Amino acid sequence: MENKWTCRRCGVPLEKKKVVFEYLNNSMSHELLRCPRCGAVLIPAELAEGKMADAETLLEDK
Amino acid sequence: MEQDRIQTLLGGCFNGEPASCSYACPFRVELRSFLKKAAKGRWDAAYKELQTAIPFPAVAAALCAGPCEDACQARTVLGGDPVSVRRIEAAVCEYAKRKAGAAYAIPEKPERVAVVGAGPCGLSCALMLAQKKYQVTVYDRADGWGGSLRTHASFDAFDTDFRLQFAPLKTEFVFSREIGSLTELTDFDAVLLATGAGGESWGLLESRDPGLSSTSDPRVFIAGEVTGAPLMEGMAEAARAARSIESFLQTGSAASAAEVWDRGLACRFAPHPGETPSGAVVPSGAVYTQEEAKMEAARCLQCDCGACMNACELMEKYRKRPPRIATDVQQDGQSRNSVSSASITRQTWSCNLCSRCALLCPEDTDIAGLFQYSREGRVAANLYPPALHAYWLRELEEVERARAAIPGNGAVFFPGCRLSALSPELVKKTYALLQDKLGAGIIADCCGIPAWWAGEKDRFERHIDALRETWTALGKPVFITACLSCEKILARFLPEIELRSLYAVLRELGVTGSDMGLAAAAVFDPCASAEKPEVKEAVRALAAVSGVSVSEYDNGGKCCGNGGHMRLADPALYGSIVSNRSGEREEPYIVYCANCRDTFREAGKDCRHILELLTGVDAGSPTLEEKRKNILKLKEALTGDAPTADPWDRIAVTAPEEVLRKMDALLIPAGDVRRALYEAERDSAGFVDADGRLLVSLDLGSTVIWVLCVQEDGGYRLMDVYSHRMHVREEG
Repeated sequence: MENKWTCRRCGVPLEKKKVVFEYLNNSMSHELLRCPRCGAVLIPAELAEGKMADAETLLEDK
Repeated sequence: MEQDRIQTLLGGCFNGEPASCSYACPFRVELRSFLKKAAKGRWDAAYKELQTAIPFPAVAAALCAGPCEDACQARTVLGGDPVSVRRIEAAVCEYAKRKAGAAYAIPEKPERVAVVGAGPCGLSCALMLAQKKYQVTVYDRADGWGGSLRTHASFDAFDTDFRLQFAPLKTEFVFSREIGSLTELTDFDAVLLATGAGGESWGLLESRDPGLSSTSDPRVFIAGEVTGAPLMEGMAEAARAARSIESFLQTGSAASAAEVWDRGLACRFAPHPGETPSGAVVPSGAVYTQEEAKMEAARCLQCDCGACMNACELMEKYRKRPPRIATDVQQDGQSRNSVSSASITRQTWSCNLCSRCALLCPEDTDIAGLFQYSREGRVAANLYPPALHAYWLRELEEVERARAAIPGNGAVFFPGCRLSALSPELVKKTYALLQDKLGAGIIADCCGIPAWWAGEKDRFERHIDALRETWTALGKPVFITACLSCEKILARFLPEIELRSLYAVLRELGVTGSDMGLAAAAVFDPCASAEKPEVKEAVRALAAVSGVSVSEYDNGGKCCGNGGHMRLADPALYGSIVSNRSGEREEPYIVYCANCRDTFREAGKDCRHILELLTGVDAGSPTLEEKRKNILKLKEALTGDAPTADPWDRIAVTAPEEVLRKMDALLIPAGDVRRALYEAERDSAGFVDADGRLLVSLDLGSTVIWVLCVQEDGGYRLMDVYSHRMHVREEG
């Protein structure tokens, strides 16, 4: 996702950064847009409904 | 998971086991496989199948009484002619080309075995031992083999069969020699006595173990007609005695040859829905022609009970046999690493728990019970995806907060939470009617089924306890229930409460209604109606007196799709179940379960709740959010307690149709979207882009929802709503 987003609270553009996800006692990391000041992470629809949904299904099926 | 409980739930399932015909067969021939090969005209392969189990196939084809045919399900279940197995066997013996006995390339064994009696039984044991390369000597006082068959009209054919089977083997035959005492056989490592009906057994017969054919003399075995067995049973016994003798020779004890094979299991039959009885092919000559034999063999139903597997979309999708499901439930949760293959999570959470499988099972197997147990086990072990049921558990909490109870004259109306969510107006009108006619009170609450389906046993028990308290506080009234799922739960977990079905009560009261534009309709019975014929009948009668022409239709207890709250566990399966149910009849449906109504309406199927016809209230198609509010509205109507407004109620939201549909599918009520926008506004949270779009999120615990929108006319226009279950761990 191209970085055209700004953090509403801090008023600064988001930056790409590696963040860690957790689900059902498993964790994995992915590079995402994140506010460099407050740390808020943006999860776009493509990711939530794509890779994340796939990973959720995999972990749920375990 | 407790093995005993799992075994009880699996019950007497015989899926995957030999068919009834094989259990009936003294030789345990795998008849399904035999008949499949015969139906294809594969005579050599079919013959081989016989030869594996029967020492002398031609003898059996000619002389067997055919207990397999008595147990054939074409006869026992369908009431037609059994498959003519013996005629097919005779034809196979006729048309097979490769019939010489089996000879295995294994080294000769030094142990010597004496077989006393060269009748069909003695020969059966001798043949099996000779095939294993033991040094076999067969004695008979007559001057040739055949024993009781020597005087039979078809002896020449039997003689040919004996020669054929012994042809490749080294066996010593000593004829015209009567054994007068066991001491004559001390050179042998083992002895089989097959001396024929009334034959000599030197006092050992009484000590014989019928399963192993062994006797008190560990070296001596007895089998065949000498034990009083009929010929075929005797031949089969003698063939099995070869295994006992081999076990004795190898280990010093026959015990390891013991097998579990219960002939009584020949009376377990599959239901065979959709199959019709047929007559056997009549032979044009003494033996079936090849074509006749193929046609007759093709009549075999290849019996293996799949009563549950063939009637359930879930079982069909996962293709897992019930015994395997039981094993997986047993092992589930024991191993939880990335290479675990015993997992059954998805299937566990995708079951409608309608128990139709148990209804159709000829035994007492309860697959839904296995999945329910699996859910409970998973929740107890904290190895489950909470997001799959979080929505309904939250809804249950809301219903509990909106509980209302008004005492009556010995009876209360229990509409159930879904009916209240569908239409408080409809509940109020029904209540007014019951109040007027019976002096009934009302309890607005849930039966607790969302917690039960979620496998949240403790949560469920808390709810049941609270319900018991309400009931006690109201003087233990009779419950008049509007939902059969409530009735099922209450009957099981609150058996002290006397229950009456609303529809039977309304029928008795002579209530009538209007057809609401439904000239013709089919009644779609809920899954919980399976054992409630009187309720099914009452609803049809109520529809008829309301002016609807009700078609003859009974769905046989199939669930609309909502059961078990499985839609988030397998949305695709949910979609296909709902679509299958919607399409069962072309006419609109009349339902008497609010969940069925919600499910069908959402799928675009025209349907009405019977109470709409009876009260004249059009319940419409409330959204998720409206349903939540309806619960509160009912409480307000009953108690005067106005619901407290949520601060986000003032947030104005518009959305295109496809976004609203997506929210419904994801079970995201508009209230949650408003709350996300309200909290983001309050905390100036979220993200904005150059196009003025705003993206905000709300963490609901097991699910995080995201709302993409633009601000417009003092409110928000939604562009997309989505969710995920993973959580970001704050780092750095």
